[in-house]
Amino acid sequence: MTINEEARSVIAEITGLPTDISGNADLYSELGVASIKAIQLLIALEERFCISVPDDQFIEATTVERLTEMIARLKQSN
Amino acid sequence: MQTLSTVASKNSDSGSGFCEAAELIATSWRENKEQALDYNAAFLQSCYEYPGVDTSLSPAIFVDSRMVAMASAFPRSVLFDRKLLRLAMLTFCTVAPEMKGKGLGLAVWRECLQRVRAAGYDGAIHYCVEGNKSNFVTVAAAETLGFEACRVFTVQQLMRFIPESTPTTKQCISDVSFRRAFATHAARLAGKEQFARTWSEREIDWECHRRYGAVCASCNGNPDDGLLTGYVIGTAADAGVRCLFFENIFWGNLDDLGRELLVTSLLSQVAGQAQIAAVPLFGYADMSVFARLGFRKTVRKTNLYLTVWNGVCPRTLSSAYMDLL
Repeated sequence: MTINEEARSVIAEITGLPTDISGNADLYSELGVASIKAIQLLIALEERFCISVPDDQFIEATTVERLTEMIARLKQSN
Repeated sequence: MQTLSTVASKNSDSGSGFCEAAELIATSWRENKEQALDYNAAFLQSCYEYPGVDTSLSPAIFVDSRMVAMASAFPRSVLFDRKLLRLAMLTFCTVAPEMKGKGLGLAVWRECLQRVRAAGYDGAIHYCVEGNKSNFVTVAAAETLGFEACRVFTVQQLMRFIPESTPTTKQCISDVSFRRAFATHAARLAGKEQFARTWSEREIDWECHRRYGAVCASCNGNPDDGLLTGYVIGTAADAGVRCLFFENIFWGNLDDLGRELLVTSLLSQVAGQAQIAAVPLFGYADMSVFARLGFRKTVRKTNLYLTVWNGVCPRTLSSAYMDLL
């Protein structure tokens, strides 16, 4: 599984969105993920990828593509 | 037939509380992408029991005796640049789903502004979730009346889950000494902040004791050292999920450990009743303790707007001591 696929799987698990959502769609303003779900997503991504995500970076990563880039970057710096 | 009245007019006649207004909010806000808190009838009633509320300042539009649009106004006293202002907090601007896009939101907001101005208020404050259409509607409504609604601050939020396994502790009682300490802490803050809420004794009593879901905590039972207040409310997104919403954060002379104990004490009190905790970031208190206790910054941003009839709005505030409603 690639980071992108794994991230999609976590997003689907937490939010109930399908795994094939557009990589550029905004999870919050377009797809309606509520802030409670966002916190659950943040925690789940940290656990799945064994990373620590700075809050501000997570807030900026509002799409699947940006989340994937962020995860890759954080995994690399670990 | 469309008629203009007040949010409370029908309710007070029927004695049914604020059921119709709460139902309108729930139905309308369900369409929002970013789900809100569950402003049920009991919560609304509690808001309208705030000292000094004049229900006639909260307009509602009725069609065939059914409420289709509303807005609420609640009094707040604020020290702004050392000058005491009597501001109205405008909130709960709501239009029934089938009536959206017909200008009712703009109309009811304008009406609310006009009523609070006529009632002698110095201005108004209100919040809009960033990205929501209400940001444009409310600013436009002020402009049509010749006022400027300035976006002066953006409130971010911290949030964390409260595990069911959190040990519960005894409820804090907001007794006379607690409320006296609250007044002292708040006054100290008002002396430092550019924009700070001020309180009467009755308002403090409402905030600490009488408001819907009120909770409080002090460190080792000594509120003079530091205290917290908040309230527990359901979330609209999930009927089973309740949220502890932090309101007043007064660290007093507590060190880091004392602050952690204080926050933990409040979380422990609501364990089992609330599943999540949310803290608005107004910048008036050091929030590092919350990060240490696992709170995370959320994606939600809420813009604070200030409208003053006479005088100049600040372009931005670096912090504010205010509540979020």
